[in-house]
Amino acid sequence: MRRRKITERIVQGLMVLSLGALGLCFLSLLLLVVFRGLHGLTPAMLLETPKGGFYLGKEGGIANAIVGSLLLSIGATLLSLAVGLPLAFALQREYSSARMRAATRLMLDVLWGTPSIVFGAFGFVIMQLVGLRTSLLAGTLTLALVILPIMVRTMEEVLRMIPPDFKETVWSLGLTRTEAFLRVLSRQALPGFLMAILLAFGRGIGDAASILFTAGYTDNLPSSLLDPVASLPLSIFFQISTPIAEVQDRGYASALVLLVLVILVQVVAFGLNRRFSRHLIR
Amino acid sequence: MPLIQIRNLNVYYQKQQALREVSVDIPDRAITAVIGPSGCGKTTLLKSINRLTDLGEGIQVKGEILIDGANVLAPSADLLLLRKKIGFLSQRPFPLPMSIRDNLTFAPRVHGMRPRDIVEQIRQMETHWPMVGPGMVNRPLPGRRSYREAGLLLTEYYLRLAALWDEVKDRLDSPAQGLSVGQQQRLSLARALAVNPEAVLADEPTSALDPTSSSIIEKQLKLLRGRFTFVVVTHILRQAKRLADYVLFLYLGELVEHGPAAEVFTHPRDPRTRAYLSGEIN
Repeated sequence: MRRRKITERIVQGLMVLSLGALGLCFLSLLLLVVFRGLHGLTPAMLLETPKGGFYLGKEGGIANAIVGSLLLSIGATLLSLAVGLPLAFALQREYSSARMRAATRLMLDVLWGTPSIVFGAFGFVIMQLVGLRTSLLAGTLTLALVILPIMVRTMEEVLRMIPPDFKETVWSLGLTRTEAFLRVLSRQALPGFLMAILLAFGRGIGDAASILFTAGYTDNLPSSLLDPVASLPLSIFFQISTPIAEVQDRGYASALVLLVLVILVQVVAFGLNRRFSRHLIR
Repeated sequence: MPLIQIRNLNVYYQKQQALREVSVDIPDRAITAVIGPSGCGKTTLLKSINRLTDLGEGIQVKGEILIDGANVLAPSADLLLLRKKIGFLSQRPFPLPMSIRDNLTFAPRVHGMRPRDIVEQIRQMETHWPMVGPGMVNRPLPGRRSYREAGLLLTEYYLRLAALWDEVKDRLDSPAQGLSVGQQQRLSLARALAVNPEAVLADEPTSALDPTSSSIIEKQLKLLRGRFTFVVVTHILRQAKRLADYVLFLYLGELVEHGPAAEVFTHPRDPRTRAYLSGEIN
């Protein structure tokens, strides 16, 4: 009896400890970025592109990186949504054989585990083959490849979570597979889909390695798909790796911008999730 | 010719045989109860009729099930038409993730029913099987083009048939998910009837419900049996006795005995039926 109670205590203690560790990490990360970055966060920082000598402490801002990162990750999210949604449906047993599904899942899982620098290198090779230079287009395509497995696997799980009895009910109304999925079941899956999209977006906006070779870096705003673009992760890297303290602080300001963007996305997700859950079957 | 005729039906789950050589005619416009101990193939028989067995993996269905004389197990069978003709009521009710009103109008809309078809369907019903009463029939019917009005008529009519109208008439636009489980099952009944099927298959339709809700469902089934053919799987013997006009007794995948309820319940011919009815097999 005593031993059982002690075990219970230990397990509880471990949970509290882990929870505390998580909270501590999150808070200290937030505090570091806010404290070192906040005073560098001026309107000019958000609205201007880098002027000459920006990385040595002269004027300018990171508008190039903010715009670039948003373009890259929104573009990549939309692109992988266009490919990923049909894929997620194809991975349901109404549409494909068990072997096919297992093979596709394996493929996606390997891609998920592949370091994004490898995608970057792959993208670079392809670019050379087709004669494309570092550009918004190449970066978006490569980034889409990085986030595709995350999106598909998440959406596919969401669809698989739909209770089979519910599917039977929908089918028994005389709907085709596609009608059932598009008109009824996807409503049920909508909040999950949203999470998948935002998860992928979050991964995309923070990824540096895949766009290093493919999107390039520039102090200017892109004027076409074929121009190189800057991105927040690379901008942070360039600023923090200088020896000048003032520029480093700006790097933290940039990190703060990135963090706020990610948090904003989560908040929006939370709000939308509540709206879409109105009709959910549990 | 009876609507549903089953000929030499054999069903296999992988290697295991779930149904053996089942042959029976289901009497029209009556309640047929399928009884037997759990695992005897009752649900499998039911789901073979509207081919929900297609959803499961590794299920083989052999033999013939004739609906209006056409074999629905043939690869060329029109599943959408089949499921429009044969409705389904699952064990646990699943409202569609939409409003109460949309739950009723969704399937008719998918089947391409126009407002005038809806009006005609209800007029036919009331002329030949007056069930709702003069208040509904004598009311001026909506114009031929108004989908909203026709949809409301459909909603009211079928919710009345399912004895749910009075409880939900003031909140037709709220999520169907907010209804109690008993109400949800009546909503499912209304939804199944709204596509004007010939028959409704019900898989232990009251097993998730409280006694009051169960007895409402039973009452409505009895009321509606003059118009629809019901096949009801039940493991509750007393329910079968209350409801059934005709009885199928399945045991270990075999159709042991079938006949009019009065006969089977009072003078069972097979010793296994006798044993089941007296509670020796369970």
